[in-house]
Amino acid sequence: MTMTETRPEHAAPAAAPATTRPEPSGLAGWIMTGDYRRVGRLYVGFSLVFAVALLAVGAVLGFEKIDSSGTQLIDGDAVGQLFSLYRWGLALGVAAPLLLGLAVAIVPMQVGARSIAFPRAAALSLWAWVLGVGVMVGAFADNGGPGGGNSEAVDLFIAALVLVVAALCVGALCVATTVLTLRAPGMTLQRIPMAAWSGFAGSAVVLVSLPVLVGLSILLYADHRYGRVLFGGNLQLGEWIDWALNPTQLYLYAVPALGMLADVTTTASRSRQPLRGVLTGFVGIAAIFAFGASMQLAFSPELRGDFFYIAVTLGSALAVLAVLVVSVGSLAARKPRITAATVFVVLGSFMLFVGQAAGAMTGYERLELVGPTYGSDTAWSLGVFNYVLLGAVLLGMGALCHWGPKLWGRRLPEGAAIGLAVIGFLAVVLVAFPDLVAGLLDQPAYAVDFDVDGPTELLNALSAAGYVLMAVVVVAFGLLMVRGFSRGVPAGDDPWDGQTLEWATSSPPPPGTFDDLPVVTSPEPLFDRKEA
Amino acid sequence: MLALPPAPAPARPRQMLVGTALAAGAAAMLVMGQLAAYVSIRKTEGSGLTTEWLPDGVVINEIASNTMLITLLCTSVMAQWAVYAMHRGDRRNAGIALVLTVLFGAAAINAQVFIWSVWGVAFATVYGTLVYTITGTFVALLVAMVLMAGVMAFRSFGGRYSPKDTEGLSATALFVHATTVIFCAVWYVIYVLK
Repeated sequence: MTMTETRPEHAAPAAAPATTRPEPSGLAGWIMTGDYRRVGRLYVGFSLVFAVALLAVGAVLGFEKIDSSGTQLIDGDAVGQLFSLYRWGLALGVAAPLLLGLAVAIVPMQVGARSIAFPRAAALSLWAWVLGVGVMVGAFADNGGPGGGNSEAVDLFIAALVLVVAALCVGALCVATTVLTLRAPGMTLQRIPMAAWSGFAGSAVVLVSLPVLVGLSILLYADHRYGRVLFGGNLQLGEWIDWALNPTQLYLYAVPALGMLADVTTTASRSRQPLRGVLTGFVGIAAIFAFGASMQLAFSPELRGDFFYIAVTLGSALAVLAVLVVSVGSLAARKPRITAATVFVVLGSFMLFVGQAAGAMTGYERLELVGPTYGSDTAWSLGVFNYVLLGAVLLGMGALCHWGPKLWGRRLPEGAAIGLAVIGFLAVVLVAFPDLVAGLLDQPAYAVDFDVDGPTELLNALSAAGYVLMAVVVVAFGLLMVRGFSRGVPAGDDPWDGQTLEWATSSPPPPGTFDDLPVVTSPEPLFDRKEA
Repeated sequence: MLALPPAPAPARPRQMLVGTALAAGAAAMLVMGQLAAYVSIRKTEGSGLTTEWLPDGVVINEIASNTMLITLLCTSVMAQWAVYAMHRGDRRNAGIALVLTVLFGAAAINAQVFIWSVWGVAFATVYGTLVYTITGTFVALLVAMVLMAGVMAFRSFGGRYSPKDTEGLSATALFVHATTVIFCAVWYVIYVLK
């Protein structure tokens, strides 16, 4: 008796298609939906909307940094809170939910399930997350958040943080349970598609790491609201929860993207992935190393300069590099079909690797990138943050190009999407690279008023332009999705000559996903069928 | 659409059991995170944040906390008894075991409330904030456990489970065991290490 046992391949007569109750139509249908395809798409849609808003915040802060003598556009007291809003929002309001939403929409189809496990819980996680992000933004607007002046709004921020994190955990639980219990007959864990595997790995590490944040946030809330004897006032709030925005924890949010990279490139290569086991192992290593490093920082931030911490973090980065190299290497095996999805995911994962490698160096003492206390990080930290999370956003866009036709039934125009991928890559480099250089010049991370020697004005101007460019890319991609997925070329059931189960059903899939559950005998069941 | 050969009907997936296991793991990490904060702050004794540990006037009723631990161990035995009985087709004993699980769970909550009543420390202190919040979080977990066992008792009495289908009961037993293990950690850190 194990949780991961494979179901018998020859047991009982064929199952009748699952009977599904018709959902309400129109807006009510979307709000009350328990359909994993709709829940996933709503996650993606809200994430992209939040991304545009947060990139606008980033752009405002970027412009404020150009003239380092003070603030021009915003109230000086709000600078710290806007940085907090940008960081928490991009991590828990954009990157993590974007990839989680994609996993919710894709994983059930990939593993041959008729639906996601606990579909109502998945819908609950979506709406709780939307509500939580809304309340969090409201708390910041009312002078709350870390460093805020309105105590009640600070309390509201902490409560919203608990809600957002709990919602993401519920979503992750649904994905992980789907992979463990709802796989098609014959689909062992060794045979599950890479996106499903990384979705499971990412969900598992989220489920063991983010509840710690919930526990600490409950303590913070109780102390801040009723005593303020334990964790200090509003300014010290970040000391206990900022580990959730440290580089290693950010990698955990991006873990589901690694499998998406592997699946997209393997499909583009038009051949089986010979190093599947290696990919599986490195995705797991990336997740476990990042989890280990992240938990070290949760309670002992001083370990950031420790050799073991740097080694583990670097190990996680090297695992990502290995996934990237093996995935890109598979494109050289035969004449590949380079799609917009391929361009997006390769460039996005390169950004992810650069962010991870730079993150590993954050604690390296000789670079003097980290001060002894909270808030004394240099701009290097912000560069790492943007490389990792905006890289994850690029990967998410690539996944949308690849699996969007399956979810909506229509394709995006390839030329325009490839153009956006390249511009998006340039935008991420513009946003993040100047911050790395500014970090080496000792420019503080979360301030707009500083006195630093060097060309910080030019660097910050480039970074601000990058934020604007990235916001334009996200808006353009959203418009492309609306146009392409509503009026684009019909995709057909298998537009990319796919290898995994999701391409065996119609586009978009019918209620219940599969009319007949197929037997799986290899990691590439559709390839088997086509070769037969 | 490519036609793959249809598969036979799968065995019933054990979603509830696996989902409960994952949720129990997440709940354990939540409480362990709080306990780690407790230990971390306790370690700073004399450094300014905590000038003394324990504060004057704190009364930790060890009899009540030990009784609570034994009570929770009993809930684990009862929950497992329910699974065992249902496997044997003994609905009556399964029902009794679940009702006893609920009662023992309620008794554990009562024990915690008693400990609070005699603790003798204000909430707005370093020690008070930590212990009231951690034990309060654990009581929330206990309430969830009692509710789950109660629902399963009703479903069991309603004929929902059979010797071939004990998944709900197994999931409940797993959650009860996890809650007991979590309390073992809380008990050791808060009531033994202090």
